[in-house]
Amino acid sequence: MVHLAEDRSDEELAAGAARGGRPELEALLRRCYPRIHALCRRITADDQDALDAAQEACIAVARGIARFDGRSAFTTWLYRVTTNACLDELRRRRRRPVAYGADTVSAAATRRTDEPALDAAVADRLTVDAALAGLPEDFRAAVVLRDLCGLDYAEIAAVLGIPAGTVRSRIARGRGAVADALGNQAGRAERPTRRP
Amino acid sequence: MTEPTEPLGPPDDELVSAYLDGELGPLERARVERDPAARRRVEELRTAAGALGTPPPPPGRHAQEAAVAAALAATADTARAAHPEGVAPSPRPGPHRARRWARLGVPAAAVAAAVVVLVLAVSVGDDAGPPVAAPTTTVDVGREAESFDAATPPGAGEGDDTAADGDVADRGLDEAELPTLGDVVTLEGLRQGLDAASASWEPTRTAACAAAVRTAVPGAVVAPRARVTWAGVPALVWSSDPTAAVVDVVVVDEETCAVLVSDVLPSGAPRAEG
Repeated sequence: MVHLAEDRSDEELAAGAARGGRPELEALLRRCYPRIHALCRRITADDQDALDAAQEACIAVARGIARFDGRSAFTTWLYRVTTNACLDELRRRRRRPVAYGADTVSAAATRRTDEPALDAAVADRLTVDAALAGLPEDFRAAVVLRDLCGLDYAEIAAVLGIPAGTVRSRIARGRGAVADALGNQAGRAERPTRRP
Repeated sequence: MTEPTEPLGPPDDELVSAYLDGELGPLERARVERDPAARRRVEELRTAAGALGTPPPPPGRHAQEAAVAAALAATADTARAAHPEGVAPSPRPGPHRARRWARLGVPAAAVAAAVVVLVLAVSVGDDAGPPVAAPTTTVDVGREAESFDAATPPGAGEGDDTAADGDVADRGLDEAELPTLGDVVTLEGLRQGLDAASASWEPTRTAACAAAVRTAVPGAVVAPRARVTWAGVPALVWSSDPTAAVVDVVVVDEETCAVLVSDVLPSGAPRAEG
């Protein structure tokens, strides 16, 4: 039990969990949670929403693992489930009175007052968050699946259910937004856009 | 009108980005490589990709444990649904944010309308608002909120949650008795229903939460039990304990049956400043 997660691959654990193995499922969830959370954090661009989405994703994994047939890589399946959980969370967030959220209020206030003291890494993170937040959610998901999760265009197309050409344009737009934001943050001259 | 003699302009971001990913054929790759501006852009997008690929800070251990526990409990719920007889409800795992009604397997239809329960501190005699014993106040009264339980004795069911309420908390909250719009539920009832096993309602974000709620629902804190509309959602404003500095915002929305925010200060703590 102690060595369960260490000795077995994701696919092996998934297969065991799919057969109803609770230890395998638990080990799989523990192993995958950091990846799930990271993806959720990037797609939602919000700490609390990321936690909610990550939890929902774990639940979706637990409920859906029996349907994982191993024909695709487990990670691709995991990212699909997680991405859907994130997009669902974002849809729910739109229906909430988000302007009243304590986190929104406090975080905004904190950032205003603390910003000069932020170190570069934190500043970059906030910049990336802000740039991502300015993108449509589906665009965000594409670039995050590429750059954070390392999926190729075909895999992203499968996860998001869109053509590979659309994946390419969405990734470009996401990276462009982040690149421009980082460039502006660094005080570099704004690069003239070549996009119409 | 003439056809352009050079149909290919300078490589745009899409081409440059695909170059970065090795997704271009030889001709397109060459276009990028011979354009100085495109090469600079490659480096900018590479930096962006690196920033995007840097994992965000991991959450606390509690978040992971809560998520895993919730997932395992969800599978238990599924099993219980398949074999309901003789299977007791499983306790809810302690969530980072109490969000468990959805896990109770409540169909959306069980919550016929969105229910929002706001539990706010009201200190008797506090200048910031009338005492809890004040008559019910309505704020931006919703469609179904023309009248409310003004006859309910203020304080009934507060604190120790006596049976005087006759509400779900006194009977134990189960799936068939989840509140719908207009129900009166107590904080304790919510706790029981949401997470029987957890005392994880964290005393955090309280002041900001209180301020946010006061901004969102002007005057909401004045009512011990009032129906309001919050962002268009029919809502209940609830004051659970007039003697304690409790600031608790519990939002149950129609789609998720989710508790979105919960903040509780220990009894006797100073009232959050709005």
